[in-house]
Amino acid sequence: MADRKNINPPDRIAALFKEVESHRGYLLRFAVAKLRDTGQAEEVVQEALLAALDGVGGFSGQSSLRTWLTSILKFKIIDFQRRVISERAQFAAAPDEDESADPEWMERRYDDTGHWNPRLGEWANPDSALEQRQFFEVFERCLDKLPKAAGRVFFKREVMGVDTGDICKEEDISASNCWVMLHRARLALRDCLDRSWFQGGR
Amino acid sequence: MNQAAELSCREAARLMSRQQDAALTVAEQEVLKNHLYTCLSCRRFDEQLGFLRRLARRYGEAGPPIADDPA
Repeated sequence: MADRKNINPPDRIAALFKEVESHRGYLLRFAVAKLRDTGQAEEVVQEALLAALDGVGGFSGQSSLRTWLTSILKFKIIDFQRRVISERAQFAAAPDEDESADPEWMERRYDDTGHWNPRLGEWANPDSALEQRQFFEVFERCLDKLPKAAGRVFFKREVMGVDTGDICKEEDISASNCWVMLHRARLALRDCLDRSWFQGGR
Repeated sequence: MNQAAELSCREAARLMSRQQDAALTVAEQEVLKNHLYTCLSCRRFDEQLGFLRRLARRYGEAGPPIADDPA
């Protein structure tokens, strides 16, 4: 392992470039969760990837590539937010336009007595799915289907590991609203993964 | 909580979700435990919530496994 790390022949660099690029989708979702605006997120991810490729020699391999790229992205986001505040505060984050999308769906998940309808199926050996690339593609598609605010709150809570208290402050919502959004997101993701993967979608 | 000890799945699901983020009261833990004891769907939901968390953390850390492993 140690001698491999010290050799950087051109084909290894090329492979690393390709691998860096494969994290773009994740980084974009991370940036959207922070900035809310897809256009701004694309811009900042582009900056982060260019900086990463520029400094790829600085990647020690001690953390995962994704973690390293995320740390670069975080700096770029902070940098970007500073610029936005000073130069173009008029381009504030666009409001979420999809908040009212079918508020009733969660109620339809239960029957008149409040029991699951339909009942929940078993997920056989779900952790083996974590070893399959296609499963993560399904997960990303399910994430993208969530209402914007719920998707953002879920991403901050579960992917970034932020405390709900901090999320409430960032999103300017009450704690109970935060929990409702998280619960909606979890239930929707659970149903989506169930449909698209665990119950024969694969 | 003002509801009787009998919990619906809707309420149980809310409690299980909230438990991912904050501690439940002793009374809440008690009614939830009683519900889970008799409800297979809710036990599955609880497990699946735990899996969602592992999945999301993995997604944010290493990410998916690399497509063609050179090894």
